[in-house]
Parts: sequence; C-alpha cells; structure tokens
Amino acid sequence: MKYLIIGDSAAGVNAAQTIRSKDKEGLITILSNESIAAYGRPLISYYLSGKVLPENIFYRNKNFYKKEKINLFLNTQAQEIDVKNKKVNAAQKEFEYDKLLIASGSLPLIPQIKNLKEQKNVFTFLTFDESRKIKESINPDSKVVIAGAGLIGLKAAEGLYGKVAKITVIDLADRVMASVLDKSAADIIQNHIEKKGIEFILNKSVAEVEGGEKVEKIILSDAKTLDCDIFIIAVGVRPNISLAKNAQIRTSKGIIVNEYMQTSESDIYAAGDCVESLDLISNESKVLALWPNAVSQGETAGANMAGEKKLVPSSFAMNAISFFGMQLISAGIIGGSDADIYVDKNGDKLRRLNIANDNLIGFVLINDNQRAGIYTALINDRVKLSELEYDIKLKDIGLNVYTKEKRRDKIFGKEE
Amino acid sequence: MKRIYAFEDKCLGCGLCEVYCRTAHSKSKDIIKAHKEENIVSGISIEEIMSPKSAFYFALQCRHCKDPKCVKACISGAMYKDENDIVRNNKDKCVACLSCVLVCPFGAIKKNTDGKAVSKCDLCVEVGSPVCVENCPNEAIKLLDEDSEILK
Amino acid sequence: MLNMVPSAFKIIRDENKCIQCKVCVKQCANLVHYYDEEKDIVRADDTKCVCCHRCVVLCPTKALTIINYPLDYRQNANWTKNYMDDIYRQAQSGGVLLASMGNPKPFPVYWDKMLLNASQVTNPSIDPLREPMETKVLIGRKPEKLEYDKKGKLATKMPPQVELKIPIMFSAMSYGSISRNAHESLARAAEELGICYNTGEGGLNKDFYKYGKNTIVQVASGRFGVYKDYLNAGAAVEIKIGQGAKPGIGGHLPGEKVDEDVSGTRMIPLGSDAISPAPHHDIYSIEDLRQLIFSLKEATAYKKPIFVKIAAVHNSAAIASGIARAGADAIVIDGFRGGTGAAPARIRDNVGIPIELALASIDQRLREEGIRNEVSLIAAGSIRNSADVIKAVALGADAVYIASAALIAMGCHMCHSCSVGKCNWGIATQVPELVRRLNPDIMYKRLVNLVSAWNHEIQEILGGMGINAIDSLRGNKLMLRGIDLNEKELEVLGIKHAGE
Repeated sequence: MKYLIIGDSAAGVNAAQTIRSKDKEGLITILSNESIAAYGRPLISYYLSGKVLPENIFYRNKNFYKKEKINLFLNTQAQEIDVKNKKVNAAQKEFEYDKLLIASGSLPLIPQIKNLKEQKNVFTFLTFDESRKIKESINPDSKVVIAGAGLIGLKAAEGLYGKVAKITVIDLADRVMASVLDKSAADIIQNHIEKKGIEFILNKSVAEVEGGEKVEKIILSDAKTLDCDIFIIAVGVRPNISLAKNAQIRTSKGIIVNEYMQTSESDIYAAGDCVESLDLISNESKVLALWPNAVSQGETAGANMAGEKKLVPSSFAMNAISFFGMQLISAGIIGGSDADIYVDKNGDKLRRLNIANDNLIGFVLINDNQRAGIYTALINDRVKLSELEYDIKLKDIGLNVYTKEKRRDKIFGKEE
Repeated sequence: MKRIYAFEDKCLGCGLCEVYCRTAHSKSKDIIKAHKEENIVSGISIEEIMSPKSAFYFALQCRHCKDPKCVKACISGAMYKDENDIVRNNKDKCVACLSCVLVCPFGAIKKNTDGKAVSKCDLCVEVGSPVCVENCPNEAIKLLDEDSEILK
Repeated sequence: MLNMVPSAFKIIRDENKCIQCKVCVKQCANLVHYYDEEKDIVRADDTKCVCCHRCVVLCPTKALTIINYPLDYRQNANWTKNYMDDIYRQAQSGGVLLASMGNPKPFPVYWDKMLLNASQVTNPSIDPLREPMETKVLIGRKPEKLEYDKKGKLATKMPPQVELKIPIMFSAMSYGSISRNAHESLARAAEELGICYNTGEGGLNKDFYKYGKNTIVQVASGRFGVYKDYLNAGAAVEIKIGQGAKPGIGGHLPGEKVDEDVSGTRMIPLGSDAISPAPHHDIYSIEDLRQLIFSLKEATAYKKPIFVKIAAVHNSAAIASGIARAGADAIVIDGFRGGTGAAPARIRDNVGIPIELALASIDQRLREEGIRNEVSLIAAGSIRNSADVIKAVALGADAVYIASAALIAMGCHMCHSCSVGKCNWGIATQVPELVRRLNPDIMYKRLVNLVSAWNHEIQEILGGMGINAIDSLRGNKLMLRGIDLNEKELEVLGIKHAGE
C-alpha cells in the first residue's frame, strides 16, 4: 500500500503516524513545501524572539521519520493531482499513491493594497522560513508595520519586541483579535500590549505602500503615512485548496470531506486547515483552522486510509495564547444575540461566559485560566448546566461542578 | 496500565500529596529546600467539594487518558505519551501556551510558576513509584490497574 | 467574663523547618493553626490546643512540637495548678467538670508492682516457635464435672460458650461515642483475630450484623437499640450495670451527636439526647438482675452466654458472688482506670478501685464459695500491654477487655477531649470530615497487628514459665510476686512478695 501525504504539519504528521501504527509495512511518503521537518507552527514567533531555540522548534524528535519509516521530501511543492492515474506531480517528480491525503494547510490572505508587489521587505508570518527571513532582515533601528491585529499579527509583534525600534499594528476593526474577542476583553489585551510601547492604529486599513525595491512608507485609509522598514501582512489566512480544486475535488471555502475525512474522491482524503468541518456549536460547516483540530483530523484520516472506520470528533473554535505574559484562553462563540453573557472582571483578569439554552457555548479567560479545560469540556459534552452541582458562574470551577457519581465516572476513567 | 485513583470518601484534604509531589519533582529532592528555595507547582492538587453536610476532598492529577486531548492540542510537541502510555511534558520544548490547559477536561494541568512550562503528574517515572500514593496518610490515593475490582 | 484558665499547651514551630504547607492548618479541627497570608507564615493559637498530636504527626518536616505551657503558679503542694484551674473553670461556668478517657491521677498501678516467674532448671521452659502454645479460651459457665457415655462421648450438656482465639476482647464503646469507622475497624479486627468486640450501649447498625459471631451486644440502662434481633445478633449478651470510669452514674450522649445513622441504630428520635439512667430501673436487687438475665436467656433461647459488667467498687467480691448466683455466665469487672467518652471529672478521678485488687478478691471469693467454675471473669480497665494481660490471667481472669489500647492503636493520643466531639483522629467524633480520617482498611490492620503482637508475647511469656496453655495460668498466683507492696496489698492480691 502506498500512502502519500501532501503537507508536513499537524494533520500530515499525525496522519502518517496513525497509518504507521496500523500498517507496519505500507510505504508512507510526505511531500513538504517547507525547508525543515514539521515544527510547532505557532512557535515561529518564539523562534523570532529567541525564546525557543531552533533545535527545539521541531514537532517530533530528530529520528521520528526514520523510526516510523516515513519518506519525507522537503522543498517539494505538489503541483498537480492526477486523480485518474493516482499520481501527484511535485518538483518535476511523480509520486504514485493508493491513498492520498491533502493536508496543505492555509495560505496567508493578501489584501488589496495599491503598489504592493513582492517588495523585499514585505513578509507574511505563517512559516518558519518567513520568520527566519524577518529575523535576518531586522535591525535595532527597524520600524515595523504590521497589518492585522489578529492572533498572527500580535504574535509577530511580540516576537519582534525589543529587537526593533518601533512596532505599529494596524487593523480595520475597532479592537484587537476581533474574531475572537469582544471589545472589553480586547481592551485588556490591547492595553497590556500598549504598555510595552507597541502602537495600535485601529479602524484603519493600509491603502497604499510607497518605495522602490523596498516599501518605505505606508499610507493609511485616512491618508496618514507611516515610515516603514519592515512590512508584515497578517490580516488572515485562507484554506489552501487550489490543488484539490484543480483536481475537480469538491470544495467550498475549504475542501469538503465526510465524517471519515474522505473527499469527493474516495481514495483522496483531506485534513487540517484546508478542510471544512462541522462546528459543534453552530452546527455549520466551517473552516476551523485550529491545531488540535488538525491533529484529530489527521489521525482520523490516517486511520481510515489504513482501512479502519473512524469517525472524526466534532470541533469548535478554541485558542490558548499569551501576549507578553498575559494569558488568553477562549473557546466557542464569543457573542450572540440569544446568549446570556456573564462577565467577571477584576483588573487584568477577566472571565466571560456565554450561556444559551442551559448550555455553555463560549468563554474567554484572561489571566484566570487554571481550569479552562473544565469549561471546554462543558461545551464539548453539551452539558446541561442545570444538571450540575452548582452554578458555573461561581469562582473556582473544577470537577466539583459535576455530581459525585459523574465525577467518579470521570476520575475512574469510565467515560473513556 | 496502572493509574493513580483518588477516593473522596477517604481523602482528608491534608495536602501531604502536594508536598511530596513538589519534593519529588524538585532539583534538591529535599523537602525543606524544595519548598523554601525552589518554586515548584505540584502535579497533584486537593480539590474541595462543598456539600451541604460536610466538605469533601479529593486529590486530582493527570488521568493519563487513553486518547489525551492535551497531546493533540500541544503546539510544540512537548506533551507526549511515552512508551509506557504515560502522558509527559518535555519542559525544554514546552512554551506554556496553555493549549493543554484549555483542553484538559479534568483541569489537571497547571501553569508553572516560572511561566515557562506547565506542570502535571508524570506518575513519578523518574522517582520510581508515585510519592503521593506512598505518602497518603489515609490510603486515599492508590496506584491501581484500570480493571481493578475497587474501581467497579 | 475574664477567662482565668491559662493555656494548657504551647506550640513550638521551627521556622527553619516550616514550609508553609498548611497541613496543620487543614488538619486541626480545634482551629489552633492558621495561615497569615500577609506574612506568609503559619501561626498558632495555643489556647485551643488539646495536645492530640495530629499536627505533629502529619507535619511532613517535623517542624512542630507541643509542650506543657511553661507557666508556673507560686509553688504550693496543696493548691496545685490542676485544682486551681478547675476552680477557675467552675467559677466561670457553674457546671460539672467533664472529663474523658481514664483516671490520669498518680494512683498506684499494681500491674507495675507485680513481677512474673520463669522456669529455670527444675521444669523446662517451652519454645513457642517449636511447640504448640494454646491461647484459646472459652468464656461461659463450666459444668461442675463432665460425664461421658459408654462410647466415651461427652454426655454433659455444655452451657453456651464464646470461643476466643486470644484471651483479649475489645471493650464496649458505643457507636455514637466513637465513629462508625472506628466501630467498623474494631469489628473487622475482631473477626480476623477470632475474638469479640462489644457494641457498647448504642445498639447495632444493620451493616454490622455480619460480624455477629464476633460481637458482644450490650444491654445497658438506656436499653438503646435493644430488641430481639439485636440480642440474637451477637455471640453473647452483656448487661452493663456499671463502668469503671464512672461507677454509679449514667451516661449522656448529647443530641447533636445523634445524627440520622446514630438515631436509627439507637432507636431514638433524631437529635434527641440519649440519656442512660444511673440504675437499671428494673434492677434493685440481685433477684431483679436474675430476672433480666433469664429474660435475656429466654430471648436468646439459652444459646448465648449472658455477661454482667460492673465497675470495680469496694464490695465487688460480694456483688460478684451474687451475680454468679443470679445465673450470669461471665462477670466483667471494670477497674477505675477504665476509659469513657465523657464522665464528670470528680467521679472519674475519685470513684472505684483498681482492677488488680478487685479481680484478685473476686477470684478468691468465688473460689472460696466453690462457684468459680460457674462464671468466667473478664478484667477491664486499663490493660496496657501483654504483660498486663498475663498478670490479669494469673490473678484469675479468663480474658481481658481492652479499649483505650485499641483506640491508641487507631491513633488516639490520649488528649482526653473525646467529650468535645472534635476528635482529630476520627475516633470520638461524628463530624463527617473527621470520621473520614479514620480509614477502616488501615485501622483494622493496626488492631490486628497489635493484638497479634501481644499474643506472640503472651506465648513467649507462657513458654518461659513452662506453661503451654493459657488455661493453666488462670488464677495461678504463684507465678506472680509483688514488689514494693505492703502486707495488706499482698494479701488482697493473694501473692507473695518478691524474694519469698
């Protein structure tokens, strides 16, 4: 059996590992368009800041691929899937497959900006190579402009903090992390980051760039200008679906898969940030570009490719991230008209719970996070809050929210 | 595999398990130095349950799930299941993003006080046998096979 | 009102060792230890300390010690600190002083004034590791003589007996005075050891009926929880007339200790005070006692031995003779050092006589009257070790009861505060958080260990005397010699002085 996997990150690696645990002999090949083996993608900001050493960025041990007998081809961009002949063309080579997994991830979203070409000092912030290029380009006098105050933009800012002269973050929204946080939570984060000397320009977008080989000036939507030595575009991501699309595989925003991670072509599977999956809370098909989701989907795809029948677990949005020591944890839906929102704010701490129809449907925790997983489980298990031992709005949530019998079952592993 | 199980009807809530856990995971392995000179977060913690009649306690630590959510959620590959099915955290790789805290349904993973890594039960693999079990004054924490009669 | 009673104890915390783990804070039900968050140190309020050592034992760095409060009054051999403090207490409260456990006053302990014999040359000692050594005893009335039929089969009908593999039983402690977990530990230990424990006067919870053949059910003046099934649940029935710690008075379990379980077991309303009257209101003479004994025999179809327990008092010997003649199968004599959950301090400390003297005189009197075989004698009231057991048997006991020793095995540190109900060791309390501290799985083993260890020692001592069965030691006063005793004491004990 020949297994071919396009993409060497969370979904791809876990798929390969799962296949190997079930099929000791099959030929497993991973094609990666990156220059190094799988790494913790979110760690690229820590690499930039120096908090994580290059040797610690890898997602698996050095001998992982060898031990699991996985052929890894780096710098090998897949160009075309030949569905009929079960082949993938990549880097002037042909790779045959019996089962194929597309785990091609996301691509950075590039907004319409006048004069924006591929100037030397324009970067995105999604890969290790980009991060390394930024690291090589900056100097202590650099003025950095980051377009996008979402997760990626803010992590880029944190990674650059202390290494450059000035960092300015621009966003069209009225707040940072607009897709994850409401205004009150976003303000806590923004204030915290501002204290470090990072400047925010909100409710504005980048209209135009000026300069020659390099971008030298940024012109905002209100015609204000900013000097710029490094321009980082971090306005968002989109699923990388062109390969699938060109192969006539069903796609929408992302690749469409069934509950076994199978695409419209029965021998082709897809997993990770490039697919759409069912959101547990809204019950809609969405692109949930989340690391744990990619891992689960990769494992599910791998198991099914190796001949098992495994259903993919449902998922919902969740994030754990820190900015300059401030910890932000969120999951589920952040707002909603019919939600009952409970906010417990104390200085730098925030606990915000969204409750609808006796279910917890979302939460945001800032610097108050030891028991976040209990909340996540309440969302995931669709637990009726009225059946719990006490009101989850109270402090100190723990397993003690459950009844004695339920808690016993959980601790004794009866729910596994 | 053997796991640690806590029994509410036996737990005193004294917290000795936490003390011995911190000591076993300290550099000095000396109970006084570990507490006075090192800043260690215990991998086990006493949970208090207030019920109308009396307070109950139990000791909570990593359940070493068969299909651990924390391992899936770990962005750095620091959290892993070792060859003995013990869920462990490689402190060198951990960046304390708290993705594991976000998904642990037991609330059993904690941020370390140094902010650099998270702390969780490792079943005392490097010590030998779990010190919380050995030092529990009331046998409220036991190391048992998962199919042990007591658990039925 | 100004409290003039000084602290009894002082807590010394070695700050070099204290790691602020707060185990002491969490474990002290008297709220002695507390954490000062601002200063990040643990402090203590000495005035509340009862010296139960819970904190000392659990402190992982052994940073704690407790000493007597070092406050001296002007020296006075008559007005000592104890008596003055008692006066301050009573002047403040106007009440009877309550005390718990046994008499702590420095009266002579006769066990410590008797020495045992061993074989040398003329009859060989026995090695119990190599040769059989019998410590089994049968408690109950023994026939005057045994008759056999022509085939050699026993023709005499044996009265009911209780068989004990070791001549030690756990003395009466009611469920209510001690916790359910303590009760369970005693019951399970008795079962494993092949001995008996005693329900005390609080009735018997249905959950414990399964230990029936190792249970002695008690009938006391309050008759709590007594009914047909209860009487038949045990191996024997014990009528409690008196208790060594408080001869002549009744008992009082405060309503707050009568929770759902205790109320069900005692068959009294929830939260009501359980009052045991001083006398049995149907017993005003030996004849009345005989009626109760035979009522109980009727109720149990003459299948269970009936014990009668009395406190050791001035004329115990005559009373015992009457009890034997009233039809009892065994007499329990409880000495003045016996423990209690609660008793008036003056009574505990001043009423009754030592078990050693009462036992010796009763044994002697019954022998003289030729009725020693009609009853078994059980000695109680501060048996502290295996040597005390041996000495009791040599003074005439068939078996002994232990209670304080059993509680100590389970963690009791003799803080004498049972009556407060906040026992940090989970023994003398009904507070659920405290009861949980006593794990019967552990404690029953400790009890088994203790009694087994004593049994080994008993066998060693017997072997040393050249005796291979405990029955051969019973009333064998030649094996005892007194030391530092006057003529009268030796006479009452029925023993010779060392060197004689």
